[in-house]
Formats: sequence, C-alpha cells, structure tokens
Amino acid sequence: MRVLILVALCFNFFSSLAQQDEYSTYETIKFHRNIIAQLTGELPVRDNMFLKQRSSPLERSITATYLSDALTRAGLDANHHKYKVQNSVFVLDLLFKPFRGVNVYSIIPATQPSNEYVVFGAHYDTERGSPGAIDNATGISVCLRLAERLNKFPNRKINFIVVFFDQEEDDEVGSGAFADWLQSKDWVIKAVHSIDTIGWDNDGDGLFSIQSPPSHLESIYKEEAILLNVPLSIVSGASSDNKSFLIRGFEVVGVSEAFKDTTPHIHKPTDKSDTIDFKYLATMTELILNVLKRAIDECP
Amino acid sequence: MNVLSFSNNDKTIFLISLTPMLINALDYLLIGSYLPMLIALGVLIPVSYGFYIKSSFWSFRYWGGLLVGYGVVRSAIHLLVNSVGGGVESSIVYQLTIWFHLKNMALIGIGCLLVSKSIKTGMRKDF
Repeated sequence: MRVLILVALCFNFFSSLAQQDEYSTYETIKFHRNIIAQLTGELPVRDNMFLKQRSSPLERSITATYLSDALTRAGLDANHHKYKVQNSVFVLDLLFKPFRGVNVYSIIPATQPSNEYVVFGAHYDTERGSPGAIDNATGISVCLRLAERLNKFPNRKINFIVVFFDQEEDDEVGSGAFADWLQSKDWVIKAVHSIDTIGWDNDGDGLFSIQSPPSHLESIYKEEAILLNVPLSIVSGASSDNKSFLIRGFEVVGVSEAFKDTTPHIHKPTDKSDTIDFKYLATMTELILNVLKRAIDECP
Repeated sequence: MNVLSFSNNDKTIFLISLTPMLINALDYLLIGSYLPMLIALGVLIPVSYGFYIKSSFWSFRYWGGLLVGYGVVRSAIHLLVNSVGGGVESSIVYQLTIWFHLKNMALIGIGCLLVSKSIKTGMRKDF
C-alpha cells in the first residue's frame, strides 16, 4: 500500500514537471502566434487597424507604437531613437529628403551596478507588398518574448538592450543609426545578437544558422545548440542588421533559419503566418534565451 | 551701364524660388551632410549677386532654366520609379506623393515664369 502511494506521488510529481515544460513551450507558441497575427494583419494592432505590411512611413509609425506598447506591457520603459540620415547615393540628397525613421528600444537594467550591455534586436519593417511574417515578425516576436523573460530574472549582472530596428529593407539604415548612437555612449557593448527570418524549417531538421560570429559567441551557440539537440550551421558574411554592427567593429552575430533551407516567400505577398513552423520558432526562442542567460552567468 | 531694375513682384518670385533648395540644403546640413549646402550656395550666390547687385536678366534666365531642369528631372524619376516597380528603396518610393508632384509642377511653373520675364526684360533692354 505504501509502495502504491509512493508510486502515485512520484507519478504526479514527474507528470507535473512535464506539464510545466509543455506549458512553457505551449505558452511561447501561443505568444508568437498572437504577436505575428497582429503584425501581419490577421488580427488588428489596435481598434480596427490592420497592418497588411510595415513599409510606408505611416505603417512603420503604427508598428513602432505597437512595439512600444508591447514593451510597456512586459514591464519595460520603451524609448524611441529617432534618426535622420543622408541617402546612400549623394545625388539623391539633392533630389529627395533624408532617411527618417525610429528605432524602438528598451533597457533591461542589471540588478547590480554595471556598464556592460548585451544588445539583441530585430528589424520591424517589411518589403513593400509583403506582410513580413517570417521576415521579420518572427524576429520581433522572439525579441519581445526574450525581453519579457529576461526582465523576470531576479539577478542580472549585465544590462540588456532590446531594440527593434527601422528601415532594414532600405540597406539597414535604422540599425546603422542605432550603432552610431551606441558608439557615442560610454557603454561597454559585450555583444550584439541580430535576429532575422527565423521561422522556416521545411525539411524539419531544426537547423539554424549563425552568421559571422566572433569565436566566444560561436562557442556559446554551439554549446547551447548541443544541449537542446539542435543542429547549427555557421556561415560567413552579413546579410541583415548585423552588417551595421560588424562594419563598426562590434562583436555581433546574426541568427536566422538555416541558409540552405530558407523561406521561398521572403519579400513576397505570400510571407504569411501559415508558412511559419511555430515549434521551430519556440525552440529558437529558448536557445537564444539560454545564450543570453550565459551572458548573465559569465559576468564576474 | 545696366539701367534695368526688377519690380517688387519679380523680387518676391525670385526669393520664393530660392527657398526649396535652401530648406533642403539646411535639412542635410543639420545631419552633418555639407555638400548639398555647398552646392546650393555655389549656385545661389552668383545668381543672387547677378539679380540683386547687377540686376542682370541673365541671372533670371539662368536660375529659371535651372528650376525647370530640376523639376523635370524629379518628375522623370517619379515616372521611372512608377514604371520600374520594385528594386527602389521604400524611402524614395514613399516620397513620390501628390505633394511631390505638385512641388515639381510649381518649380517648373516658376522656372518658366522667370525665363519668360527675363526674355521680356531682355527685349526691353534691347529697346
């Protein structure tokens, strides 16, 4: 009889543990579905306003407000980094107005004095005519989830900055302006993680790619990928906002779905939420969270 | 000796026509891009000197011609972008509004007005 009670208690204990894990992944998937549905026009962002794309100045402004509200709901202070920069070609300066945009960011402060920062971010604009589910509502949703989770950690030895870049589709203008702004501060930026296009896994192998990581970040990503039993590929170059930081000398890594298995819907009207593998997205969220937690643990 | 003098109307039109170029150049100067202002000054100083100091109808004609050319180039870009469709930065595409078009038409209109005034003024000088 005592043995039976003991077995029943053990069964309850382990099944509740399993439920918590399942609950966490389930909740993460639910979170992503909701955010991405709002960003791609399946659900309204507010009142009766639907975003079919995030390309025009008005659409980007609405998205910036949405992101500010989302950060506020996560318990963070949202800030707008407004910028104006010249055009990529000088002749255009004589004919058109400068680039104008807004990066949205929040600082998740360390719980002890620290001048060190880890930045993670994703661009929030889309190509014209595309709802931008995988490119890059997935990146936005991952960053929002990470910010929410990190803000709940009781002990943070390092500061985090979550940032949503504007105008990545116009040659990474927003991230360039933000990188310049970071350089003007006397902060020690330990690493930058740029998340872009992280929802497609057609062959189901779970593979993801990191682009041009510095050696210490490469090691961390490899170790965390092994722990989660997720394959990883390392590629060279810089094809997103990570480029802005790389050329300015920051330690930066670009994180994305596998380069050899990337969404065919990119920049197209078919880049919708039904093309996203949400389980893959949830796994990527957990992996990046574990990588960022290492930054906390490795601080003296 | 040049005995021409421009009317107050002419001076007002001339001043109004300078403002878009100066405002644009100032916008870029404030973000640290000096070349648009240097080019603006390089064009506007001789033109203004010719107009205010020398009362030269040539400055009117030259400046009017520049405005027409500038408006035509911007309109041509608008047409090109519309015909090309993709591959153009959104920052440019979303500036091609009705207001952009109206500004171009105003620049071309003012330019033509200045050129026609300079022709009439030139004809008065000949007489």
